[in-house]
Amino acid sequence: MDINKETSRGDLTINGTGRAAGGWYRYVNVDGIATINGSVKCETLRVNGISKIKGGIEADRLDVNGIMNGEGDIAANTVAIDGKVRMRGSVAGDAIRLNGWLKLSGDCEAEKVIVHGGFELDGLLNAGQIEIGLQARCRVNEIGGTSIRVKRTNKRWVGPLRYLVPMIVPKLETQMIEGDDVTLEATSAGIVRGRSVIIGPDCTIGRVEYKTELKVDPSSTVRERIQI
Amino acid sequence: MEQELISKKDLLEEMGISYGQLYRWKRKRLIPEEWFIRKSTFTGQETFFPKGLILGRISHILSMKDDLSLDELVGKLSTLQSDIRLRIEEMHGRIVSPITMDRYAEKMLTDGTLAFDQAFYLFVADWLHRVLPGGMTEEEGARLIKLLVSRIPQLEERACNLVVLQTAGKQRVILLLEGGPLHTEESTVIAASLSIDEAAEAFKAKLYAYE
Repeated sequence: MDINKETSRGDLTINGTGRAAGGWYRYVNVDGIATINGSVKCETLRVNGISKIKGGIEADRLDVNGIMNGEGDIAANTVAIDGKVRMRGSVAGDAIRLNGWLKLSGDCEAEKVIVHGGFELDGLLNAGQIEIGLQARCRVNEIGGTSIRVKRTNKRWVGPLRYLVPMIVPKLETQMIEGDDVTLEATSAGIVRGRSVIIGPDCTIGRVEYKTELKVDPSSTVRERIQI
Repeated sequence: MEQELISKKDLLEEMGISYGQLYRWKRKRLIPEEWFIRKSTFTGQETFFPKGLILGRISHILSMKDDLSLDELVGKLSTLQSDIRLRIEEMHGRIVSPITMDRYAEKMLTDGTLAFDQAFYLFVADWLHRVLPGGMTEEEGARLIKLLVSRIPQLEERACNLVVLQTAGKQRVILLLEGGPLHTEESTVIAASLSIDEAAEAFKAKLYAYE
Protein backbone atom coordinates (compact mmCIF):
# COMPACT_ATOMS: atom_id res chain seq x y z
CA MET A 1 0.00 0.00 0.00
CA ASP A 2 1.35 3.34 -0.92
CA ILE A 3 1.33 5.05 2.42
CA ASN A 4 3.72 7.75 3.29
CA LYS A 5 5.31 6.75 6.57
CA GLU A 6 5.92 10.31 7.64
CA THR A 7 5.68 10.46 11.39
CA SER A 8 4.34 13.99 11.34
CA ARG A 9 0.88 12.81 10.37
CA GLY A 10 -1.35 13.04 13.36
CA ASP A 11 -3.37 10.34 15.00
CA LEU A 12 -7.12 10.47 15.34
CA THR A 13 -8.60 9.10 18.53
CA ILE A 14 -12.26 9.22 19.36
CA ASN A 15 -13.41 7.93 22.75
CA GLY A 16 -17.10 8.25 23.42
CA THR A 17 -18.92 10.13 20.76
CA GLY A 18 -17.31 12.35 18.26
CA ARG A 19 -17.01 13.68 14.82
CA ALA A 20 -13.93 14.23 12.76
CA ALA A 21 -12.91 15.29 9.33
CA GLY A 22 -11.61 12.81 6.86
CA GLY A 23 -8.09 13.03 5.65
CA TRP A 24 -4.67 11.61 6.07
CA TYR A 25 -3.80 10.23 9.50
CA ARG A 26 -1.31 7.80 10.96
CA TYR A 27 -3.54 5.83 13.33
CA VAL A 28 -7.27 6.16 13.57
CA ASN A 29 -8.83 4.72 16.69
CA VAL A 30 -12.50 4.78 17.47
CA ASP A 31 -13.80 3.53 20.81
CA GLY A 32 -17.43 4.47 20.88
CA ILE A 33 -19.47 6.19 18.26
CA ALA A 34 -17.89 8.26 15.56
CA THR A 35 -18.77 9.99 12.36
CA ILE A 36 -16.00 10.78 9.96
CA ASN A 37 -16.92 13.29 7.31
CA GLY A 38 -14.88 12.23 4.35
CA SER A 39 -12.44 9.68 3.07
CA VAL A 40 -9.76 8.40 5.38
CA LYS A 41 -6.22 7.47 4.51
CA CYS A 42 -4.12 6.01 7.29
CA GLU A 43 -1.84 3.22 8.39
CA THR A 44 -4.25 1.56 10.78
CA LEU A 45 -7.93 2.14 11.23
CA ARG A 46 -9.47 0.50 14.28
CA VAL A 47 -13.12 0.71 15.12
CA ASN A 48 -14.44 -0.58 18.42
CA GLY A 49 -18.05 0.44 18.45
CA ILE A 50 -19.96 2.18 15.78
CA SER A 51 -18.62 4.39 13.08
CA LYS A 52 -19.93 6.01 10.01
CA ILE A 53 -17.55 7.10 7.35
CA LYS A 54 -18.77 9.44 4.66
CA GLY A 55 -16.19 8.33 2.17
CA GLY A 56 -13.77 5.56 1.39
CA ILE A 57 -10.91 4.04 3.33
CA GLU A 58 -7.33 3.56 2.29
CA ALA A 59 -5.27 1.90 4.99
CA ASP A 60 -2.64 -0.66 5.60
CA ARG A 61 -4.75 -2.37 8.19
CA LEU A 62 -8.46 -2.13 8.88
CA ASP A 63 -9.87 -3.62 12.04
CA VAL A 64 -13.56 -3.44 12.79
CA ASN A 65 -15.05 -4.71 16.02
CA GLY A 66 -18.60 -3.54 15.86
CA ILE A 67 -20.46 -1.75 13.17
CA MET A 68 -19.18 0.36 10.36
CA ASN A 69 -21.05 2.04 7.55
CA GLY A 70 -19.26 3.73 4.73
CA GLU A 71 -19.84 5.40 1.44
CA GLY A 72 -16.87 4.44 -0.65
CA ASP A 73 -14.30 1.83 -1.49
CA ILE A 74 -12.00 0.11 0.95
CA ALA A 75 -8.41 -0.48 -0.09
CA ALA A 76 -6.43 -2.11 2.69
CA ASN A 77 -3.78 -4.77 2.92
CA THR A 78 -5.33 -6.57 5.83
CA VAL A 79 -9.00 -6.35 6.61
CA ALA A 80 -10.41 -7.96 9.74
CA ILE A 81 -14.09 -7.57 10.42
CA ASP A 82 -15.72 -8.84 13.59
CA GLY A 83 -19.19 -7.47 13.37
CA LYS A 84 -21.08 -5.78 10.65
CA VAL A 85 -19.82 -3.65 7.82
CA ARG A 86 -21.80 -2.00 5.09
CA MET A 87 -20.07 -0.09 2.34
CA ARG A 88 -21.37 1.56 -0.78
CA GLY A 89 -18.39 0.47 -2.82
CA SER A 90 -15.83 -2.26 -3.27
CA VAL A 91 -13.24 -3.88 -1.06
CA ALA A 92 -9.77 -4.63 -2.34
CA GLY A 93 -7.05 -6.06 -0.18
CA ASP A 94 -4.55 -8.78 0.36
CA ALA A 95 -6.14 -10.75 3.17
CA ILE A 96 -9.73 -10.31 4.22
CA ARG A 97 -11.11 -12.05 7.28
CA LEU A 98 -14.79 -11.67 8.01
CA ASN A 99 -16.52 -12.86 11.14
CA GLY A 100 -19.98 -11.46 10.86
CA TRP A 101 -21.79 -9.65 8.16
CA LEU A 102 -20.62 -7.69 5.15
CA LYS A 103 -22.69 -5.85 2.62
CA LEU A 104 -21.14 -4.25 -0.43
CA SER A 105 -22.50 -2.67 -3.54
CA GLY A 106 -19.34 -3.52 -5.46
CA ASP A 107 -16.73 -6.21 -5.78
CA CYS A 108 -14.57 -7.91 -3.19
CA GLU A 109 -11.04 -8.72 -4.27
CA ALA A 110 -8.15 -10.18 -2.31
CA GLU A 111 -5.57 -12.89 -2.37
CA LYS A 112 -7.24 -14.62 0.54
CA VAL A 113 -10.80 -14.28 1.78
CA ILE A 114 -11.95 -16.16 4.86
CA VAL A 115 -15.54 -15.80 5.93
CA HIS A 116 -17.44 -17.02 8.96
CA GLY A 117 -20.84 -15.50 8.67
CA GLY A 118 -22.79 -14.04 5.87
CA PHE A 119 -22.57 -11.41 3.18
CA GLU A 120 -24.39 -9.70 0.41
CA LEU A 121 -22.20 -8.55 -2.46
CA ASP A 122 -23.63 -7.03 -5.59
CA GLY A 123 -20.52 -7.65 -7.65
CA LEU A 124 -17.81 -10.25 -8.00
CA LEU A 125 -16.00 -12.06 -5.22
CA ASN A 126 -12.53 -12.61 -6.66
CA ALA A 127 -9.74 -14.16 -4.60
CA GLY A 128 -6.97 -16.69 -4.86
CA GLN A 129 -8.18 -18.59 -1.86
CA ILE A 130 -11.79 -18.34 -0.80
CA GLU A 131 -13.05 -20.11 2.30
CA ILE A 132 -16.62 -19.52 3.27
CA GLY A 133 -18.02 -20.92 6.49
CA LEU A 134 -21.72 -20.40 6.02
CA GLN A 135 -23.51 -19.15 9.09
CA ALA A 136 -26.12 -17.02 7.43
CA ARG A 137 -27.28 -16.27 3.95
CA CYS A 138 -24.43 -15.45 1.59
CA ARG A 139 -25.39 -13.80 -1.63
CA VAL A 140 -23.02 -12.73 -4.36
CA ASN A 141 -23.38 -12.20 -8.06
CA GLU A 142 -20.30 -14.16 -9.13
CA ILE A 143 -17.35 -15.92 -7.56
CA GLY A 144 -14.00 -16.44 -9.24
CA GLY A 145 -10.69 -17.68 -7.92
CA THR A 146 -8.14 -20.43 -7.63
CA SER A 147 -9.40 -22.43 -4.68
CA ILE A 148 -13.00 -22.00 -3.58
CA ARG A 149 -14.33 -23.84 -0.54
CA VAL A 150 -17.80 -23.40 0.86
CA LYS A 151 -18.76 -25.22 4.05
CA ARG A 152 -21.73 -25.09 6.32
CA THR A 153 -20.13 -24.69 9.72
CA ASN A 154 -23.11 -25.21 12.00
CA LYS A 155 -26.32 -27.01 11.56
CA ARG A 156 -28.27 -24.81 13.88
CA TRP A 157 -31.96 -25.58 14.08
CA VAL A 158 -33.94 -22.84 12.41
CA GLY A 159 -37.26 -24.64 11.93
CA PRO A 160 -40.16 -22.54 10.73
CA LEU A 161 -38.14 -19.41 11.37
CA ARG A 162 -36.51 -19.99 8.00
CA TYR A 163 -39.67 -18.78 6.32
CA LEU A 164 -39.89 -15.67 8.43
CA VAL A 165 -36.23 -14.72 8.45
CA PRO A 166 -34.62 -16.25 5.37
CA MET A 167 -31.44 -14.42 6.18
CA ILE A 168 -30.52 -16.78 8.98
CA VAL A 169 -30.53 -19.87 6.80
CA PRO A 170 -26.90 -20.71 6.08
CA LYS A 171 -26.84 -20.91 2.31
CA LEU A 172 -24.80 -19.53 -0.56
CA GLU A 173 -26.66 -18.08 -3.51
CA THR A 174 -24.81 -17.06 -6.63
CA GLN A 175 -25.15 -17.08 -10.38
CA MET A 176 -21.74 -18.33 -11.30
CA ILE A 177 -18.70 -19.90 -9.67
CA GLU A 178 -15.48 -20.28 -11.62
CA GLY A 179 -12.32 -21.70 -10.09
CA ASP A 180 -9.66 -24.35 -10.26
CA ASP A 181 -10.63 -26.38 -7.22
CA VAL A 182 -14.22 -25.88 -6.18
CA THR A 183 -15.78 -27.55 -3.14
CA LEU A 184 -19.32 -26.59 -2.28
CA GLU A 185 -21.97 -27.22 0.35
CA ALA A 186 -25.45 -25.75 0.70
CA THR A 187 -25.05 -23.72 -2.44
CA SER A 188 -27.45 -22.79 -5.16
CA ALA A 189 -25.73 -21.61 -8.30
CA GLY A 190 -26.55 -21.27 -11.95
CA ILE A 191 -23.22 -22.39 -13.37
CA VAL A 192 -20.16 -23.91 -11.70
CA ARG A 193 -17.02 -24.19 -13.77
CA GLY A 194 -13.79 -25.68 -12.55
CA ARG A 195 -10.97 -28.13 -13.00
CA SER A 196 -12.07 -30.29 -10.12
CA VAL A 197 -15.53 -29.79 -8.71
CA ILE A 198 -16.87 -31.41 -5.57
CA ILE A 199 -20.51 -30.79 -4.86
CA GLY A 200 -21.33 -31.57 -1.24
CA PRO A 201 -24.73 -31.90 0.41
CA ASP A 202 -27.75 -29.66 -0.18
CA CYS A 203 -26.69 -27.97 -3.39
CA THR A 204 -28.79 -27.00 -6.37
CA ILE A 205 -26.68 -26.34 -9.43
CA GLY A 206 -27.93 -25.62 -12.92
CA ARG A 207 -24.87 -26.73 -14.80
CA VAL A 208 -21.42 -27.98 -13.89
CA GLU A 209 -18.54 -27.79 -16.37
CA TYR A 210 -15.49 -29.65 -15.10
CA LYS A 211 -12.20 -30.85 -16.43
CA THR A 212 -10.70 -33.58 -14.29
CA GLU A 213 -13.19 -34.70 -11.69
CA LEU A 214 -16.71 -34.20 -10.47
CA LYS A 215 -18.25 -35.63 -7.33
CA VAL A 216 -21.84 -34.98 -6.45
CA ASP A 217 -23.44 -35.76 -3.10
CA PRO A 218 -26.70 -37.72 -3.49
CA SER A 219 -28.62 -35.04 -1.61
CA SER A 220 -27.72 -32.43 -4.23
CA THR A 221 -29.20 -31.84 -7.64
CA VAL A 222 -27.14 -30.96 -10.69
CA ARG A 223 -29.18 -30.53 -13.81
CA GLU A 224 -26.41 -30.72 -16.39
CA ARG A 225 -22.91 -32.20 -16.14
CA ILE A 226 -20.45 -31.48 -18.86
CA GLN A 227 -16.85 -32.63 -18.98
CA ILE A 228 -14.62 -30.36 -21.01
CA MET B 1 -16.45 -3.74 -38.74
CA GLU B 2 -16.79 -5.54 -35.47
CA GLN B 3 -13.89 -6.88 -33.57
CA GLU B 4 -13.53 -10.61 -33.21
CA LEU B 5 -14.42 -11.98 -29.79
CA ILE B 6 -13.30 -15.07 -27.97
CA SER B 7 -15.27 -16.74 -25.20
CA LYS B 8 -13.66 -17.31 -21.83
CA LYS B 9 -13.82 -21.06 -22.25
CA ASP B 10 -12.09 -20.97 -25.64
CA LEU B 11 -9.52 -18.55 -24.31
CA LEU B 12 -8.55 -20.85 -21.43
CA GLU B 13 -8.38 -23.76 -23.86
CA GLU B 14 -6.29 -21.92 -26.39
CA MET B 15 -3.77 -20.41 -23.98
CA GLY B 16 -3.69 -23.38 -21.61
CA ILE B 17 -4.43 -21.30 -18.53
CA SER B 18 -6.85 -21.83 -15.66
CA TYR B 19 -9.69 -19.82 -14.19
CA GLY B 20 -7.51 -19.14 -11.17
CA GLN B 21 -4.82 -17.49 -13.27
CA LEU B 22 -7.31 -15.44 -15.23
CA TYR B 23 -8.95 -14.12 -12.06
CA ARG B 24 -5.58 -13.39 -10.48
CA TRP B 25 -4.57 -11.30 -13.46
CA LYS B 26 -7.87 -9.53 -13.35
CA ARG B 27 -7.29 -8.72 -9.67
CA LYS B 28 -3.87 -7.37 -10.49
CA ARG B 29 -5.41 -5.21 -13.22
CA LEU B 30 -3.28 -6.92 -15.82
CA ILE B 31 -6.45 -7.44 -17.80
CA PRO B 32 -8.56 -4.29 -17.95
CA GLU B 33 -12.17 -4.38 -16.85
CA GLU B 34 -13.38 -3.17 -20.26
CA TRP B 35 -12.11 -6.30 -21.94
CA PHE B 36 -14.64 -8.41 -20.05
CA ILE B 37 -17.62 -8.30 -22.35
CA ARG B 38 -20.78 -9.91 -21.09
CA LYS B 39 -23.20 -11.38 -23.54
CA SER B 40 -26.19 -13.61 -23.20
CA THR B 41 -25.93 -16.84 -25.09
CA PHE B 42 -28.22 -19.85 -25.21
CA THR B 43 -26.33 -21.29 -22.24
CA GLY B 44 -26.85 -18.17 -20.17
CA GLN B 45 -24.46 -15.29 -19.52
CA GLU B 46 -21.00 -15.74 -20.95
CA THR B 47 -17.93 -13.57 -20.84
CA PHE B 48 -16.12 -12.70 -24.03
CA PHE B 49 -12.89 -10.88 -24.74
CA PRO B 50 -11.58 -8.94 -27.72
CA LYS B 51 -9.59 -11.72 -29.31
CA GLY B 52 -6.54 -9.98 -30.69
CA LEU B 53 -6.01 -7.97 -27.54
CA ILE B 54 -6.45 -10.68 -24.97
CA LEU B 55 -4.33 -13.25 -26.79
CA GLY B 56 -1.54 -10.70 -27.11
CA ARG B 57 -1.81 -9.67 -23.49
CA ILE B 58 -1.87 -13.19 -22.11
CA SER B 59 1.05 -14.44 -24.15
CA HIS B 60 2.90 -11.36 -22.99
CA ILE B 61 2.09 -12.13 -19.36
CA LEU B 62 3.02 -15.77 -19.78
CA SER B 63 6.33 -14.92 -21.40
CA MET B 64 7.26 -12.40 -18.72
CA LYS B 65 5.96 -13.99 -15.58
CA ASP B 66 9.03 -16.19 -15.15
CA ASP B 67 11.31 -13.18 -14.93
CA LEU B 68 9.10 -10.70 -13.12
CA SER B 69 6.66 -10.90 -10.25
CA LEU B 70 3.08 -10.03 -11.05
CA ASP B 71 3.38 -6.72 -9.29
CA GLU B 72 6.36 -5.76 -11.38
CA LEU B 73 4.40 -6.75 -14.44
CA VAL B 74 1.59 -4.42 -13.49
CA GLY B 75 3.95 -1.49 -13.75
CA LYS B 76 5.05 -2.61 -17.16
CA LEU B 77 1.58 -2.81 -18.63
CA SER B 78 0.10 0.56 -17.95
CA THR B 79 -2.77 2.07 -19.88
CA LEU B 80 -0.31 2.90 -22.58
CA GLN B 81 -0.33 -0.83 -23.16
CA SER B 82 3.34 -1.33 -23.78
CA ASP B 83 2.80 -4.92 -24.87
CA ILE B 84 0.84 -3.87 -27.92
CA ARG B 85 2.93 -3.16 -30.95
CA LEU B 86 1.39 -2.14 -34.19
CA ARG B 87 2.67 -3.04 -37.58
CA ILE B 88 3.11 -0.11 -39.88
CA GLU B 89 0.80 -1.60 -42.52
CA GLU B 90 -2.01 -1.77 -39.96
CA MET B 91 -1.72 1.91 -39.27
CA HIS B 92 -1.11 3.27 -42.72
CA GLY B 93 -4.21 4.96 -44.11
CA ARG B 94 -6.61 3.10 -41.85
CA ILE B 95 -5.84 4.84 -38.57
CA VAL B 96 -3.44 7.56 -39.50
CA SER B 97 -3.45 9.26 -42.86
CA PRO B 98 -0.54 8.53 -45.21
CA ILE B 99 0.79 12.07 -45.05
CA THR B 100 1.27 11.98 -41.28
CA MET B 101 2.72 8.50 -41.43
CA ASP B 102 5.25 9.55 -44.05
CA ARG B 103 6.26 12.61 -42.10
CA TYR B 104 6.81 11.25 -38.62
CA ALA B 105 6.53 7.47 -38.42
CA GLU B 106 9.94 6.79 -39.91
CA LYS B 107 11.88 7.92 -36.82
CA MET B 108 9.76 5.97 -34.35
CA LEU B 109 9.92 2.61 -36.02
CA THR B 110 11.65 -0.40 -34.55
CA ASP B 111 11.57 -3.41 -36.86
CA GLY B 112 8.53 -2.20 -38.74
CA THR B 113 6.36 -1.72 -35.63
CA LEU B 114 5.24 1.16 -33.48
CA ALA B 115 4.57 1.10 -29.73
CA PHE B 116 0.99 1.75 -28.70
CA ASP B 117 1.74 5.19 -27.26
CA GLN B 118 3.73 6.32 -30.26
CA ALA B 119 0.93 5.25 -32.55
CA PHE B 120 -1.45 7.23 -30.38
CA TYR B 121 0.65 10.38 -30.68
CA LEU B 122 0.63 9.99 -34.43
CA PHE B 123 -3.14 9.62 -34.30
CA VAL B 124 -3.44 12.88 -32.34
CA ALA B 125 -1.14 14.69 -34.74
CA ASP B 126 -3.12 13.35 -37.65
CA TRP B 127 -6.40 14.45 -36.11
CA LEU B 128 -5.11 17.97 -35.56
CA HIS B 129 -3.77 18.06 -39.06
CA ARG B 130 -7.23 17.28 -40.36
CA VAL B 131 -9.25 19.67 -38.18
CA LEU B 132 -6.99 22.68 -38.37
CA PRO B 133 -7.75 24.88 -41.32
CA GLY B 134 -4.75 24.68 -43.56
CA GLY B 135 -3.33 21.70 -41.68
CA MET B 136 -0.09 21.68 -39.81
CA THR B 137 3.32 22.24 -41.18
CA GLU B 138 5.80 19.45 -40.78
CA GLU B 139 7.72 21.42 -38.19
CA GLU B 140 4.62 22.12 -36.07
CA GLY B 141 3.70 18.47 -36.16
CA ALA B 142 7.16 17.47 -35.06
CA ARG B 143 6.97 19.92 -32.14
CA LEU B 144 3.55 18.58 -31.17
CA ILE B 145 4.77 15.01 -31.16
CA LYS B 146 7.79 16.02 -29.10
CA LEU B 147 5.46 17.65 -26.57
CA LEU B 148 3.22 14.59 -26.38
CA VAL B 149 6.14 12.20 -26.04
CA SER B 150 7.66 14.17 -23.21
CA ARG B 151 4.50 15.14 -21.30
CA ILE B 152 1.79 12.50 -21.68
CA PRO B 153 3.64 9.73 -19.80
CA GLN B 154 4.10 12.06 -16.84
CA LEU B 155 0.40 12.85 -16.57
CA GLU B 156 -0.29 9.44 -15.10
CA GLU B 157 -3.78 9.27 -16.53
CA ARG B 158 -5.04 12.57 -15.20
CA ALA B 159 -7.54 14.10 -17.56
CA CYS B 160 -6.17 16.76 -19.80
CA ASN B 161 -6.96 18.65 -22.93
CA LEU B 162 -4.88 19.53 -25.90
CA VAL B 163 -5.59 23.06 -27.01
CA VAL B 164 -4.33 24.84 -30.06
CA LEU B 165 -4.15 28.59 -29.78
CA GLN B 166 -3.75 30.68 -32.84
CA THR B 167 -2.56 34.24 -33.11
CA ALA B 168 -2.52 35.96 -36.46
CA GLY B 169 -1.77 32.89 -38.48
CA LYS B 170 0.89 31.42 -36.18
CA GLN B 171 -0.12 28.21 -34.50
CA ARG B 172 0.90 27.15 -31.05
CA VAL B 173 0.08 23.97 -29.24
CA ILE B 174 -0.26 23.68 -25.51
CA LEU B 175 -1.15 20.75 -23.35
CA LEU B 176 -3.49 21.57 -20.53
CA LEU B 177 -3.79 19.60 -17.36
CA GLU B 178 -7.28 19.23 -15.95
CA GLY B 179 -8.14 22.48 -17.63
CA GLY B 180 -11.07 24.53 -16.54
CA PRO B 181 -12.34 27.05 -19.04
CA LEU B 182 -9.58 28.72 -20.95
CA HIS B 183 -9.94 32.41 -21.68
CA THR B 184 -7.92 34.07 -24.35
CA GLU B 185 -7.28 37.65 -25.14
CA GLU B 186 -9.07 38.86 -28.23
CA SER B 187 -6.31 38.52 -30.80
CA THR B 188 -5.87 34.86 -29.87
CA VAL B 189 -8.39 32.23 -30.87
CA ILE B 190 -8.71 28.64 -29.79
CA ALA B 191 -8.26 26.88 -33.10
CA ALA B 192 -8.86 23.38 -31.78
CA SER B 193 -9.37 21.59 -28.51
CA LEU B 194 -9.16 17.87 -27.86
CA SER B 195 -9.57 15.87 -24.70
CA ILE B 196 -6.77 13.32 -24.49
CA ASP B 197 -9.06 10.75 -22.88
CA GLU B 198 -11.59 11.06 -25.66
CA ALA B 199 -8.86 10.87 -28.22
CA ALA B 200 -7.54 7.71 -26.59
CA GLU B 201 -11.02 6.19 -26.72
CA ALA B 202 -11.44 7.12 -30.36
CA PHE B 203 -8.02 5.72 -31.12
CA LYS B 204 -8.75 2.42 -29.40
CA ALA B 205 -12.13 2.16 -31.09
CA LYS B 206 -10.47 2.60 -34.46
CA LEU B 207 -7.64 0.30 -33.61
CA TYR B 208 -9.71 -2.61 -32.41
CA ALA B 209 -12.40 -2.39 -35.06
CA TYR B 210 -11.09 -5.17 -37.19
CA GLU B 211 -12.35 -8.45 -38.57
